Amino acid sequence: MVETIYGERKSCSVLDQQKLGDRARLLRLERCFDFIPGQSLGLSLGESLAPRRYSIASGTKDPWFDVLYTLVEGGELTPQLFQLAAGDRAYVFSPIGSFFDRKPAIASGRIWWIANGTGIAPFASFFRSGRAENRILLHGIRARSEAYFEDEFLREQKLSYRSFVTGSEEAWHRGVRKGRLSTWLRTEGLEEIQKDDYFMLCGSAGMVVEVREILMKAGISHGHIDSEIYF
Amino acid sequence: MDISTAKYISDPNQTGPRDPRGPRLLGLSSDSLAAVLKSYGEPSFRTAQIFDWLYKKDARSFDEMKNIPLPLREKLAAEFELGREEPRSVSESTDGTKKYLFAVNNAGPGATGPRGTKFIESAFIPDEDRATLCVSTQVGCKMGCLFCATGRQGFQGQLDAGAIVNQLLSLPERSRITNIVYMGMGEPLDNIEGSFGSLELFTSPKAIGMSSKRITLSTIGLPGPLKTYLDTFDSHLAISIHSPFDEERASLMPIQRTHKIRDIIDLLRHYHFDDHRRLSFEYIMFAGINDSLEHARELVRLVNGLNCRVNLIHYHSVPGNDLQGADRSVMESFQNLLKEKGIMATIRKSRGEDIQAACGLLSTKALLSPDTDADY
Repeated sequence: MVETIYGERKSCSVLDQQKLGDRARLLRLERCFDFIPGQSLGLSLGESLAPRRYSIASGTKDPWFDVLYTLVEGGELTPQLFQLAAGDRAYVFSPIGSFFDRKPAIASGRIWWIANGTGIAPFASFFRSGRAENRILLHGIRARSEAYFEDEFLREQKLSYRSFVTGSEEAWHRGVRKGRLSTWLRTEGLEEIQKDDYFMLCGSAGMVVEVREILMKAGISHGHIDSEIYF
Repeated sequence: MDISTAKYISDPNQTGPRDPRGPRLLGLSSDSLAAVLKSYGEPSFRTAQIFDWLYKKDARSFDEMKNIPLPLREKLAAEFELGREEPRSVSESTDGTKKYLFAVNNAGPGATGPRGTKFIESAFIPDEDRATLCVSTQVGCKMGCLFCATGRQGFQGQLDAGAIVNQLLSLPERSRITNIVYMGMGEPLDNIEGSFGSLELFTSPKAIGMSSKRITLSTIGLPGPLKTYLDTFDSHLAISIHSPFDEERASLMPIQRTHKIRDIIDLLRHYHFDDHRRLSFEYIMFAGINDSLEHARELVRLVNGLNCRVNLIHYHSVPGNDLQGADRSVMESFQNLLKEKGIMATIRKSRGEDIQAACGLLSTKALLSPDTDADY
């Protein structure tokens, strides 16, 4: 019954679980389905339990799935995911979604990838699948520990990567800006944005709604803004 | 609409937010209340007695429950808050629609943003032969639909079943209500505990006892919870569609990126709909975007074979986007094409626009404190 609604389900091995700060983990699973970067997969630890969906953070050439998630206190799944180790098993449901990195025919500008928190995951998948040129990645975070995949992004010169940290840490490299991503977009960001640019937003509802409004106020058509909200 | 004649009334006797002493009694299911009373050593008939006071006799304090022994009343008062919350203010439209503001102190699990009192709005919509209450199920909303004022404020928390039924119980016009629609703030299927818990209380003969035929749940379509709703309840269903084209719908409603409308419609084809349980599709019409006859033809193809109706809705502009409402004449042409193809289609009357109570206009964004812990 669960499978009918949520797609095909397979039992897959946990390959690794990496700690990224106190509350975030990168769970690596056996890759048991094909996928398109930008899609999400379902995860469950019980046969009759409905899955929770997580963006796939790995690339098409990776022989595994990477899932980036944070602990939800009192949540139904993440406290149990936290306990997983290599060799354990989890139910993986077939990838779904259409948040794809593709420029529409009408847009001739650059593509901006804008994320907050774990919303960086689909952009990591695009990046690890070979997209970087003409891409500008902005990541809103509270602390350095949330700068997921930073080392990888910094190694690729074709990608313009900037993180915006709202906490008290000082900038730890040239691409780090102190303060809110939304504030930067409203001010200096407007000078960089071009009318033909295309924007992909991923993360919390609050971020997507606020950034979308800033962009539309700047004259960007809603047809040039694609959003995935984590709910 | 003459905005200057809209009346805003607030009760000067309302004080600040009340600190709850404990969990709310209002909203507990019959089984949960029975378990509490059993743990007190009370006989099983007490559950029905207390339900009677809460839902039929309009008790606003434990003291009013005269057939409940004093020791039990005192014990309940010590461990529970009754859960009734009067509206903080009301705005009245020239068309008779009223918008009520309620405070919710317990925003439930999953609440984000700053702590403190939060607010929701409900709309009372009187008509010739009916009076409808539009209830909210969340403080804000996570779905981020481009055209919706509630979406603009993000998400601040879930409403439990008590906070949802309270919107009816504390309504001054309660006795006039004939219909309830889950079309207020929030996505009902993103809060199944509150939405389904309140649905059970609205329809249970032991509680409020409304006919399920008088209730409509409106949703953007989340497959798992939608299936549970269809398998469990027989109230009506409204699906927010707003475009039959995938990419266009995605630009208006980010949920389309995760759950396509075609998949939702495929799920609906497994169920039977008729006057007993009606299926409708909500279609807000935006000038130059989704109001063409090509859209109408594609909409027909999409819902072909489903026993359903389409409600065409005039768009009420909200700040922050580039959308405009379609002209009435364009809406009528769209409607005519749907009818020619055998689809029942209505143009919904717009109510409460002058007090920001019409479709897509409910928002308590102005009452939010700034989120100092934001990462964007």
